[in-house]
Amino acid sequence: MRRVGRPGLIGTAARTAVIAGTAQAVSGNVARRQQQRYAAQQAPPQEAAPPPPAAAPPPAAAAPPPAAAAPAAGGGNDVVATLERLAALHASGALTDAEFAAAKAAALG
Amino acid sequence: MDVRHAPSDLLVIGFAGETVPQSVRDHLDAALQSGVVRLLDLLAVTRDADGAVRLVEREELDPRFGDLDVPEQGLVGEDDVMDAAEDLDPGQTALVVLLEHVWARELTAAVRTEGGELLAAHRIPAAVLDEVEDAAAD
Repeated sequence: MRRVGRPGLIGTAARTAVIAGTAQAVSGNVARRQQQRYAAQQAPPQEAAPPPPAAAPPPAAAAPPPAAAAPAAGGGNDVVATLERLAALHASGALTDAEFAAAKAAALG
Repeated sequence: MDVRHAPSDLLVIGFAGETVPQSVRDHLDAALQSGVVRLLDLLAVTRDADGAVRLVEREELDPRFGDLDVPEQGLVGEDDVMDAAEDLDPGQTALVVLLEHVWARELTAAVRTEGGELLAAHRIPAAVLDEVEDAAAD
């Protein structure tokens, strides 16, 4: 299996969490960094925002128990709450894709 | 329902020196032999004294690790490891293991089959459990 040049497990799990609006989005320094990088990539509201990572189904995110990857108890609760609200607004159509991407980038920044 | 993987923990465990202590290897062995967890991937990451980060694959690791079976070598992405390495000080090494919770596989399958949905999953660090228990006892 190739270790280089493909999405990491943590980044894939974080992206899935953001898209799904679930609460395990941000825990631990690594997840935060990868999520910020993803948000930055998403930020420019131009024609081709990178598609969600359909290519790499994340084993960790798809499966239930017992644990999110990182054991750290990071202070990401406010960010997560904001992301969840944004995701809900986006889902309801109150925010366009571009507005959602920009707001999300701001929340993560 | 077929479940290819059980949920897994990606652990990055830093050590002060440049080697992984023997007792850590011993306890990892014991956990693997119990069958409760399965090792999917293992590697190490070191930060040299000059700050350069290097991935160390199982084959180049300490020989004590060389005989471990790593069935999905490469599943941990370079991104995962390089980001974790940002937390290393020069001269530090971290062991990176992807441990599959074999015990949870059938449970995962049952939840899916029954249309259940995992609404939240939180890993509570052992130290936090101790702390909360102590605080509640006061």
